[in-house]
Amino acid sequence: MQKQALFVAIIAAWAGVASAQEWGDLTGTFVFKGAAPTAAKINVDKDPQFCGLHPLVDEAVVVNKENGGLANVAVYLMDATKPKIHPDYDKEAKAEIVVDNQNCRFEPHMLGIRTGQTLLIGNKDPIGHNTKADFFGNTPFNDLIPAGGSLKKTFAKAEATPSDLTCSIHPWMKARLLIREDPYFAVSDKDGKFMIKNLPAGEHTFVVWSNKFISAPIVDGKAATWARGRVKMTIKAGTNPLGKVEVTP
Amino acid sequence: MPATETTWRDTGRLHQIFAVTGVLLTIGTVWMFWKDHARTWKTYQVNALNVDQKVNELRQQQYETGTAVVEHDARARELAEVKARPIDEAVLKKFKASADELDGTLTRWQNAGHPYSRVSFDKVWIDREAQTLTDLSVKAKDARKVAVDTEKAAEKALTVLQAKPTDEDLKKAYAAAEKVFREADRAATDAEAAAAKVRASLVTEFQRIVDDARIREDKALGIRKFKNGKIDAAKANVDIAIRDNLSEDRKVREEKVHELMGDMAHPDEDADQGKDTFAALNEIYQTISKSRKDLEKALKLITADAEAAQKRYEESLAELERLKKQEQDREEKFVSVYDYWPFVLGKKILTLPILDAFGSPRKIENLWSDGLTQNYNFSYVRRFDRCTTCHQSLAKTLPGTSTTPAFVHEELLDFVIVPPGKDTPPKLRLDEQGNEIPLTLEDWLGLKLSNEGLLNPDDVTVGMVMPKSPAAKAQVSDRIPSNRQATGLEFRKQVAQIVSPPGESDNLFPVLPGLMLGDVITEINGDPLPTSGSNRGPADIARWLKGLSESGQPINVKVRRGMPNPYVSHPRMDLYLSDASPHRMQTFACTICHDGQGSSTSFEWASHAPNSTLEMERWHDEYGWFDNPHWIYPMYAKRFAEASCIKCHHDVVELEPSEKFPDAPAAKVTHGYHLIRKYGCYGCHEVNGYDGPTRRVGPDLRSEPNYFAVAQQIEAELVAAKGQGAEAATGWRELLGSLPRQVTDHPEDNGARLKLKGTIDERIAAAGKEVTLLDKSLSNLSNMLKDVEAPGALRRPGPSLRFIGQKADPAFLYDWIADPQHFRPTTRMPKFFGLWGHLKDGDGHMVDEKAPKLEPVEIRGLLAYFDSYKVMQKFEPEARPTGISQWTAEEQLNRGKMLFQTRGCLACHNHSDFPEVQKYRNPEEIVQGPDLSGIGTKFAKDRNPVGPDWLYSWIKNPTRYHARTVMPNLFLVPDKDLGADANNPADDKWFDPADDIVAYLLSSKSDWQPIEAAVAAQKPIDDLADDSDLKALVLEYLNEAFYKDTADDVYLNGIKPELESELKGAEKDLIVQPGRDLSNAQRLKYIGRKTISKYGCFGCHDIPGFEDAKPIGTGLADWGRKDSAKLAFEHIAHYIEHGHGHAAGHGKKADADSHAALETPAAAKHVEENEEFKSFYTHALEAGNRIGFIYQKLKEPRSYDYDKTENKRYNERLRMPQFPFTSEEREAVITFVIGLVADPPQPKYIYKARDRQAALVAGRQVLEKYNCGGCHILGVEKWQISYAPGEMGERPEPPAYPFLNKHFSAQELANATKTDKRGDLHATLFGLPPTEKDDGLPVVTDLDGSKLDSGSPYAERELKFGLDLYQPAIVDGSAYQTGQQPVFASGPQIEARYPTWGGALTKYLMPVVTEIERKSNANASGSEAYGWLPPPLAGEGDKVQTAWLHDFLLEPYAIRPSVFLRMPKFNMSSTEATALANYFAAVDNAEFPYADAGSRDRARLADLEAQYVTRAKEARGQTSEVGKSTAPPEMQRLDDAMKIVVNGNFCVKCHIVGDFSPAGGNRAKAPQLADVYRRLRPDYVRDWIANPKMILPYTSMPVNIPYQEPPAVLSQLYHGTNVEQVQALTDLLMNYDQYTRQSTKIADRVQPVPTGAAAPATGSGSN
Repeated sequence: MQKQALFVAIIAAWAGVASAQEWGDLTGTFVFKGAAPTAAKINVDKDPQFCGLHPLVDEAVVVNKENGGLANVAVYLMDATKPKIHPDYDKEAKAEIVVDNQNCRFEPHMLGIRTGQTLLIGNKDPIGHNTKADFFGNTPFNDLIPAGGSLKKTFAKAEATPSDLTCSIHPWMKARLLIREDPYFAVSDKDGKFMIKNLPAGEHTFVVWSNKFISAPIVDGKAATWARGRVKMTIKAGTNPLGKVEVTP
Repeated sequence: MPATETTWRDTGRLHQIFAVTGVLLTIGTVWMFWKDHARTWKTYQVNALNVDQKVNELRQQQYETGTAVVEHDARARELAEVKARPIDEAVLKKFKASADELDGTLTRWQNAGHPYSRVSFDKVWIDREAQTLTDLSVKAKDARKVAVDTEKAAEKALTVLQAKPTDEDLKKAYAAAEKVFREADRAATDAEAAAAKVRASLVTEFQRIVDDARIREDKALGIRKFKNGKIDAAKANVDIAIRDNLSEDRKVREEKVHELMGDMAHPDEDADQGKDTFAALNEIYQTISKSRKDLEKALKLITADAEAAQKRYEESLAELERLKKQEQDREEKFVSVYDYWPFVLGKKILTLPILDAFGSPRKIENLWSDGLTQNYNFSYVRRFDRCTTCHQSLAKTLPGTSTTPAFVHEELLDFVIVPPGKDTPPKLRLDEQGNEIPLTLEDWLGLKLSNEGLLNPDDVTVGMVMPKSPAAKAQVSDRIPSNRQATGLEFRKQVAQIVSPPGESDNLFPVLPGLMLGDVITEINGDPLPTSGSNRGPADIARWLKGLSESGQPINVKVRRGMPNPYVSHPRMDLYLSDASPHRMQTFACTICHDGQGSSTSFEWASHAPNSTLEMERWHDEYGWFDNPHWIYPMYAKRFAEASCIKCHHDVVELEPSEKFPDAPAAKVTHGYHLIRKYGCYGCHEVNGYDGPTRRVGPDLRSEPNYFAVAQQIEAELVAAKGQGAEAATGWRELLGSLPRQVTDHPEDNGARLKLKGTIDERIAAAGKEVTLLDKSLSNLSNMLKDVEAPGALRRPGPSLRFIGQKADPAFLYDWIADPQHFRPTTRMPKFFGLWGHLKDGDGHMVDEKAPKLEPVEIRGLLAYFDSYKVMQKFEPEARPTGISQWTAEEQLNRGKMLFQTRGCLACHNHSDFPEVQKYRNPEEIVQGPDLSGIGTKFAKDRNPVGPDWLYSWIKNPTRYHARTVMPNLFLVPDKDLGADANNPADDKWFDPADDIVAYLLSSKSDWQPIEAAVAAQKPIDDLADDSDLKALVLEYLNEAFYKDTADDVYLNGIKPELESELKGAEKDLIVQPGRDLSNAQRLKYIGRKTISKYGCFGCHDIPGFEDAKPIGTGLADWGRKDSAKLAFEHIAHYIEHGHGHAAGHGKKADADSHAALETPAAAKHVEENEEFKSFYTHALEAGNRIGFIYQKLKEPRSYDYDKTENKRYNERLRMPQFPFTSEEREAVITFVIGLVADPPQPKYIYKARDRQAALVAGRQVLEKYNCGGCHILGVEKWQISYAPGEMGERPEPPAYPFLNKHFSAQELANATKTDKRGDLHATLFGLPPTEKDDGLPVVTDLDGSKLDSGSPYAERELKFGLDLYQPAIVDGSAYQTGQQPVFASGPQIEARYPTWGGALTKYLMPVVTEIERKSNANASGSEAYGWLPPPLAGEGDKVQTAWLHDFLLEPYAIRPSVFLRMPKFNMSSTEATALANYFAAVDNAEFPYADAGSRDRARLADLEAQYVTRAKEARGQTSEVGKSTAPPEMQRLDDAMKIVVNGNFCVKCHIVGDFSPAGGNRAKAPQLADVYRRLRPDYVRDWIANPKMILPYTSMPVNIPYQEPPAVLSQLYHGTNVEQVQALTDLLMNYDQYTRQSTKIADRVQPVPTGAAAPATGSGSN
C-alpha cells in the first residue's frame, strides 16, 4: 500500500515535472444498474403538521427515471501527496457552502466542501431542527438551529470518507458532507453526470462513493474491480472520461 | 614412692593418640570451616554481585556515548560561557556602595573609639579588574561566536562530504574546516578561561569583603551580648533594692541601668560619641549586619548564574557519579588502591575461608516483617525471612521505574529490528582529517554488544542500546500486526468482540519492547549463533549484524531475556515489595504470602514447592530437593501462589481488576471464588468466615437464613392441616393473615419476621399443654425464624423445588436427576447417580450389585416426595392479560424470537439460536442462567400439561414461583404494535411480549428423549411390578432406626398413628391409618425424604420440609491447613494403580467407561488435561498431599470408595456428586480452597476497606450477584498507547463553557511530554469505540483514515482503531477533551487494550438493534444505539443522586422512552440497593450518601431572582417579552427559564415535560424533565445542558445554548448571557417541584370551615 502510494507519488512528481502545468478534466456518468427502485416513503411521525405536508422519501438512492442517472455519487481525489491546485480555484477558497434544512429534509443531499471554506447550515422551516455531525478528523458538532436560524462551521482537516449530517429530532433526515483539502471532488447531478475540472495531469487515484465505496461497477459495459472504491486514472490535458459507470449503491 | 622413669601411660602411645586426634581435629576444623565457607547462598550472592557490577559498568558506558555526551558537553560549554561573563554594572555598583557604606561607618566608629578596624578594599583595583573582565568577556564572546560559526561550517562540509564520500577535494575541505573549527574552539576556550580567571579573582575578593564584614558583625554581636549581661545584672540590683526597701540605693541603681542602656532614642549619637552604651552597641551591630547582608545579596547576584550552571553541569554527571560510587562501594578486591595511601587490604580478604567469620560482605539477610507471626505449634513467634539472601534482586526495578522488574524470568523473545534502510544509511563518521571511520553496529542499529555475558561469560549480550535507535525501537514479533487478511466487516466484528485483557499468558512478567541491556542474542534470522569455532564472540556477531543492517532488510533476532532464579525480580511490583505497592517488602516480607520456611538459607530446607513433576525432578537432581513433610507450611507452588491472598482479602472481590490495577491481581483465586459461588459448593460445604460473631477469619460463603422458606412452609402446613380437617388451621390462617407472604417476599424485613414469630409463639403459649400436631409443627417452624448472629448472605444456588411437581413432569425430573447433563450439557447441577467408575474392576466389569438397583429407587423416591407436596401447596401461575389481539403463530414466534433477543434474556442465558452473544462474553464468565436451547422440549404441552403456563408465569413474574430467585421481573407488559401506518390508530394491535417469548421458547426443541427408566417412572407408583429393590432400600433405612424384626414389620404394615408424636423425621411418612395398608407411595416418599437428607439436596434448593437442614459436607473454612492424616485416602493408590483415573498408561477402558457419561454431551466444555497437569496432581495424590486429595475428590468424588463398598452399608457410601468442571476450573477451585486457612494475621493486615473503598467492595458483590454487568458496561475500555511525538496530533482547546473543559496543570502536561528510551510518548485513554451509523459496529479505518469497506479485504497492519474519550487525557502534549472527534491509533501504537468491564449484552445488541431499527427508519443511526440499550454506567455516580438511585433500583420505572429493553426489577433488599448506589458514587468520587443541595438553596435562588428582575426591568425597553412573566413574583426567573423549555425550538421538541409528551415515535423521545430534580445532580444537569456530547459521546441530544453565537431567539425568552441561561435552566430543573407548586392550588380544594351558629352540644364531653 505504502509502496504503491510512493510509486504513485513518484509518477505524479515525474509527470508534474515532465508536462509542466498541464491540466485536465475528469468526467463521467453514473447509472443505476438494473431497474430503478422506487424510493421508500418516509413515515413522518414527528411534526406531522408541517413535515407531513411534504412528500418525503428516503434519498439514499436517487435515480432519474428517464435516463437511469444516479445522483449524489461522490468522486474525489485521494492521492498520497498534495496535488497542485489550479489557480481558477483560488477565488472559491474562502467561499460559503450552503446546506439548508428545508421541508424537513436537507438540501442538497450530498455536498462537498474544502477546508478553509465555510459551511452555512440554514433552517428555512418554521420548526426547529438540529444538525448533528461526527467526524474522524474534525471537531464534531450537534447544534440546535431554531426556526429561521442558521449556523456556520469551518473544518480544519480533510475527511477520507463523507460524513453524515443528521437531525436527531427528525430521524429520517440525512445529508452527506465530504470535506477535502483540495477542490478536486464532484457530486453527480440528477442525470448522474459529474465533472472535476482542472486536475493536474498525471496518474491519480480517485474514490467513488455513494452510501459506501463503489467497488464492483460496470464501466462502459465491462465489469471492473475498484477495491475500496479506489480507481486509478491518468489525467491528460483536455477531457478524460471515466465512462458510463453502472453501479448499485 | 621414688621417682622413676616409668609413666602411668605409655608416652609413645599417648603421643601417637595426640598426633592422630590433633590431625583429626585439624581436619575437622578445616572441614567445618570449608563447609561453612561453601554454603550455596554465598555463591548466589557472588553471582548476583557480579551481575550487578557488570550491569553497572554497562550502564556507565551509556554515559560515555551519544546523547549523554552531547548533553554533558552542552552543559560544560554553558558553564564555561557563564563563568566568563562580565559582572553586571548595576550589581557591581550596588556592591561597591554597600562596601563603601560599611567602610564609612566603621571608620567613623573607629575614630570615635570603638574597637573596630576598617574593612579594606581597593576600589581602583576592583574597577580595573572589572573593566579587564568586561574586555576579556567581549573577546571570549567573539571568539566563541567564531568557534560556533566554524563548527557550523565544518558540519556543513561534513554533510556535503557524506553525500559524496569519495570526493578527495571535499574531504580536504572538510579537514580544513574541521581544523579551523578546532583552532577557533581552542581560542574561544582560552579566551573564556582568561576571562573566567579574572572573574574568579574578583569573586574571591568580594567574598573576602563579605567575610570580613561578617567578622565585624560577629564581634559587634558579641560586645552587645556582653553589655546585655551587664544590664541584666544592673536590673537585678534594682529588683533587690525594691525587695529590701533600699529607696536610696534604688535610685542609684536605676541610674546605673539608664546609664548602661544609653540613649535609646538616638543610638547613633551614642555611637558617634564613642559611648559603649547598649543603644550604641546595638546600633553598631545592626548597621554592620545590614551592610553585610547587602553585600552578600549583591555577591549572590554576581555568582547566581555560575552556580546554577555549575549545578546543571553536575547534574548531567550525577547519575554517572552515582553509578561510579555504587560500583566502587560494592567492588570487592583483595587489595584496594586509594589516592591517600599506597594500598589497603580490600574487602575480598574477608570472603576467604575462616576470615569470612569476621564482617564478611557475604551476609545472611533477615527481613523482619512488622508484627507478622508464625505458628510454631505451641506459640506464635515473630516471622523473619531470609529469602533475599539468595533472591538478591527480588525488589530491584528498572532504572527510572518504580514497579517494572529489573530482571525478568528467562524467556525467549523474537524481535524484529528494522535498520535505517539502504536509502538512508547512517551518516558517515569522519576523523578530523576527513578520513572515513568505519561505521560500527552502534552507528547502524544503536546497539553495542558486551564483551562478556552477565551470568555466563560466553553469552552474546546486549551491552548498550542507544535511545531512539533501531535497536531501541525493535518490536516483539507477535506484537507486530500481521498481514492477515479479512474483510472490513470481519475486522470490525472482531473489535466489537474483544473480551480478554492483555497478557493472558503463563508469564507474569511484562514484555517490554526494544532490545534491552542484558538481552542475550541466541539466533539471528533463524540461525543459531555459533557456539564454537573462530567466528563466535561478540565482535564477530556484531560484524554479522552490521552486515545484515547494511542490506536494509528487517532482522529477526531471537533473544533470551532475563535471568534464571534466584536472580529474578518479583513480577508484580505494582502489587508487592516496592514502596509504591500496597505490600511493601519491609512490612510484609515473603513467607506471609508464599509460605515455606523463611528462616532457611538452603534450597532444600526452604520448603520450595515445585510447580510440575518436571521441575521437581530437576530440583531433585540440581539442588537435592526433597518433599519435607515436617514443615507444615510448604511454599505454595507457583500455580497456587494466589491462594494466600484470601488470608487477608476476605471479601475476595477487591482482588478483581480495577482502574488502579488493571492487570488482574489474582485471576485464579477470584475465578475459583466465582466457581464456588456459582456452582454452589457452599450449599454442602460451609465456608464460615467467622470465628465468633465478630472475628473474621476468612471469606464467608454461607447460605442466608431460610426465613422465606419457613414462611412458605407455615402456609403449607396450614393447607395440609386444613386438608386433614383440622379446624384450628382456619383460626391460624386468620390470625397470621398476610404475614407469611410478607416474610416470603421480604425475608430481610426483620419487623415482619419477628411479628410472625411472635404471633405464633404467643398463640402456642396461650394454648398451654393443649397443643395439636399442627401447633407443634408451627412451633418448630417459628423457632427457625429467630435471629441469627452474623448470618450468611448467599442465596441458594439452585432453583426452589417447593412446587417442582407443578413445574416439571415426572419423566423429565427422573431423567434430570439421573443425569442432568443428559438434558442440558452445560448445566451446573452435578451428577449424583451412575458414578460407578470405582465400582468396576480393572476390566470394566461392574462388581457392585447395589448401586444399579437402589439408585433408581432413590430417584423414584425423590419424585414421590415432590409429588406428595403437590396437594399441600398450590402454585397459581400468573394469569394472562385480556385485550390481546389475534396473531398468527408465525407472527408470535418471530416477534417472540426478536423479544427474546432484545429484551435482556441473553444477558444471563445462552441460546443456540444466538451463538454470537457468547463471543461478547469473557471466556471465564460463568453465565448466570441456564442455556435455554431446546427448552421447548421440557415444557411442551404434550409432555408437560402445566409447562407452558408455568413458563409464562416464570417469565412474567419469577418471584411468584421462587421468591429468592435472582431472575428479575422484566416488565413484559402488553404493548401496542403501531401497524403499517404509525399515525393511524385504526391498525394498532396489542400483543403480550411474555406470551410471545413463551411461544418462541416452546418452539425451541431438541432431540432429547427421557431415558427408559424415566419413562417407566410415569406409571402409577403402586403398579411397581417388582418391589424387591424398594424393599431392600426401605429396609436399609429402617434397620438404622429399628431392630430387625420391627423393621420388617414396619416395612410391611407401617407405623400406627398413635406413635406419631414420638416419631421424628422421615418415619412419619410410614404412618398408616387404621384399616389401611402401607402403600408403595408412602414407602417411596419415605425413601425420598431419606434421599434428600442423604445427598443434601436442600443445600442448593429450597425443599419443603427441610427448612432448617444443615449443610452435609465438611466445612471448608480451615481446609487449607487440614492435616493430611485426617484425610481418608483409603485405597486411592490402588485405584490409580489399577488403571483408573487417567494416571497410568494402562487400563484405558475402565477409564473411558467411568467418564463416558461426563464426556459425551459436555465434550465442548471438557478440556483434556495434559500430561504435565496430570502427573503433577497424581504425584501430589500419591504423596498423600491434601492438594492431591482435593484434586481427585473433585475429579472422581466417589473414587475413594474403591474397594471399600463391600465393608460399608449402602447409605454410608460417599455421596459427593461429580461437577462438570474443566481441568482449569478444578485448579481454580483448588486454589481457592487451599487458601482457606482461618488463620488471619494481625487485624492491621486484614484488608479492611474504608469509606469509598468499602463502598466499592460492597457494591461489587451486589453487581456480581445480580449480574448487572451482563447488560451494562460498568467500566469503559482502557487503552495504553505509545506514539512518536507529533503522531497523534496536537488538539487546540475547544471553545466551551469554562466549567466544561478539564484543565491540566503545567506539571501534568510536562510529565506527559517525556519520551521513553524509544523516543515515544505514552498516554492512557478511557473510552468506548465509536460505532458506525450504518451497522452499530465499531469504527475502524485504514491508514488513510477511510472507513473500512465491509466487503473489501484488508491486512491487519493497515488498520486504525477509534476510541471516543470518556475522560479527558493528555495526548501529544495537549489536552484531549471529551466530546471531540475519536482518537485513532494503529495496532502497534496500542500497547494494551483492556476491554470493557461488563456490557456483553449491550455490545452484542448494538448491531442487532441497529438492524431492527433500520427496518422502520432507513436512516436510523447505529452510532446512537447506546441510547436504546442499557446505558454504559461510566460516570453514573457523578450523574444521579444516591437517594434516587436507591429508590430506582428497588422500584425501577421507565426513564428513556427510546429503549428496546427496560431496567428490570430485581428482588433485592434495600441494603443491596444502598450498596449499589454508594458504589457508583464512590467510583466517581462523588459525594455520598448525601450531596450538597446548593442548587435548592432558597437564599441563593432569591438572590438570583432579585438580580434577574432588576435586569429584566432594564431590558424591558429593548425587548417586549422578557421579564413579563405571569408567574408569582418570586418565580419570575424560573418562569422565564421555563419559556426556553416550552419553546417549540428547544426542550419540548423531544422531552416529556410533566403532562406534555411530544408527538412521534419513541426512539426520538427523550426523558421526562419533571423528574430531573430528584434524579440528577445539579452539576451534571448544568454540564449536560451545556454540551451533552462531552458527557456521553453517543448522545443525540443537541447543544441548545451554544457557547459561541447562541441563537437570537434565546435572549427573547430569557434575559441574560448564555452562561446565565444554562444556569437558569439548571435551577429550574433542580427546583421543578417548587416551581410547579404555583400551578396546583390546594387551598381551593380544602373543605371550608362551616359558618353560622354552632349546633347545640349533645354530649357531656366538655368536662
